[in-house]
Amino acid sequence: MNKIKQFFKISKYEMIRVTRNKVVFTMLLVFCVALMLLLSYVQINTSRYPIAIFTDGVNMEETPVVQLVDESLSFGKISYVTSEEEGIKLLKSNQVCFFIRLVKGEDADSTTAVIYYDRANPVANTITASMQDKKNEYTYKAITEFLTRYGIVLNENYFQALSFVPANNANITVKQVPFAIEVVCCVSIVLMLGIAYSLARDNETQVSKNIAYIPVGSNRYLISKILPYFVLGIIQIALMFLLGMWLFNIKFQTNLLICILLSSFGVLSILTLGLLFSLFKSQISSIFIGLLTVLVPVFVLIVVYVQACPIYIQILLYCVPTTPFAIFISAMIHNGVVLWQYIPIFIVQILVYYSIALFITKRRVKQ
Amino acid sequence: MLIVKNICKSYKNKQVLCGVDLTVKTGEIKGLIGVNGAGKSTLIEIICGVKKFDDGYIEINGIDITNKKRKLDIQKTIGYMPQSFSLFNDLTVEENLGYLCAVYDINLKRVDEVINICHLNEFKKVLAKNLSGGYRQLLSMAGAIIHSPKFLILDEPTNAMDPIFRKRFWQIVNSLKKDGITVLVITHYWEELVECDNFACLAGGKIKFNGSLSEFKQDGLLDIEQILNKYTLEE
Repeated sequence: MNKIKQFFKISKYEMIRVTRNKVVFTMLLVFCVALMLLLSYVQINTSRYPIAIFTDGVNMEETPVVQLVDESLSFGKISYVTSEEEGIKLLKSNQVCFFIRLVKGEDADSTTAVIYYDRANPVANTITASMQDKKNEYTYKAITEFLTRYGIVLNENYFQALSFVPANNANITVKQVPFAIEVVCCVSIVLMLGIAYSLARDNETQVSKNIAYIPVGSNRYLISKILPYFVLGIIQIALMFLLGMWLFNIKFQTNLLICILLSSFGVLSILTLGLLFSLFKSQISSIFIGLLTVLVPVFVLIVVYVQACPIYIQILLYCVPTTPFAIFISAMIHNGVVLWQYIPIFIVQILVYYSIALFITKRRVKQ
Repeated sequence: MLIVKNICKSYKNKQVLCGVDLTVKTGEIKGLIGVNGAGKSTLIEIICGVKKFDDGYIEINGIDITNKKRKLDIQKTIGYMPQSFSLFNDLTVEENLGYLCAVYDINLKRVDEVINICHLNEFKKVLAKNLSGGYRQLLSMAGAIIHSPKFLILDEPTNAMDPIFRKRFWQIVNSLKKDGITVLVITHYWEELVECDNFACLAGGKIKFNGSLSEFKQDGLLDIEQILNKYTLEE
């Protein structure tokens, strides 16, 4: 008990150091939010993802439900398919990232739009919107915006200012898909920036050399470095979740508190990798390597599609905690599923990265 | 009391220390001189238990320093002031010492005592990075004695100090001596050697001289350069 108390006393001073530079500390907190707002814009632009469209029950020649008005806007490949099965097949085989099915009902009000996005279980996880209710325009806007990115517009005569409203999965909107990824990307970048220089600056100023002479121990020294950033990371996650709820109207499919608690695995995993990079003897090297490493999965998560990458690239991406963290959080927030099988991945990453950092620190101390 | 017996240390194929014998009696101030690369810092690191040695025996106040079970006791017995400032630049004087109090698990009241001893009262709330070179060294000294060590090792402690600060610093060292603290100091300054009860000269990985300054004065050697030259040229 006394040792834990003593450990927290040591960590208190590390916390003071983190908060000492008010500008940097404010940036660490504010940058996350600013980045999230920026990424939410970037992420809406999904035009680089290949998609498939199936206009079920609608004769495209008679009634052009969708029109490709500007081909130059369409960076991603659009495949028009003739059946639902064909669309799902393309989705499952990684040839498209979304499959949109527009179903015409008997009257205009019963027309629905279904977006299939889950290649593992495409039929079970869809975003469905119908035109039965005019109250909620959000999904309608999101879908039309989504299509606009491909240079596609919905035929206004056909839809006539009708509103889509979520039917099956009432809480899911198109915009929710990228939100979890935004959060993880922002937190990864900011935490990596923070932790990467924490040990490196001690190395530069000879402070880390001093730990060999005082009974602080490598273990306590390293953990006391992580702890303030862990607290900061959890605050950031909570802040972004709350902002997501208020600003973007995100509906959490899993309890918010559970989402925050389970996020701690991902946060810790990122921090231990950052700690490893922090062992470089100069701050510049640590920050550069840490940031570049974390930017690779961030780039893939935003611009490309992880599951669409070759398996060896996927393995490499999974080595950086950002990737499993994004998928884990995404499933929790949007699908209401806790991927328990990811917890061992985080634990292994934490143990491996921390052990290497500890080994190197102990070796340095003994040299 | 420090007893160093027949210490040998080599890096790869290079022998840095070769059969070093050194004794520092309780309550005395012992100087250690030697040219750059003579192995002084290595010897200090070995005494502090930071570096391993190939052969020999070291005991501090009756504790064998290789005894891992007593590592904490040894760390609490020794106070080490490094050559360059190695406390946290982004913490104040008070916070730096508070950090060390947390590490040694001692009462925060000790911070004020040590601040008093090292004449740092007016800089209590000043960030370490804003202190002048001399005061930074005094803060280093405060950090080295925060846990009331019995044995104090000072590695070229007055490098960044002007003569006034140096004088003030030695007043602190002498007052610690009066409290029964044993001091081993690495120095390159004659006036500091004069303050020591006796000194040892390390050259070529061996202790070439161990005694008092008066022996040199009889030979007409009156500065540190002449002493170092004598033993280095012998090599």
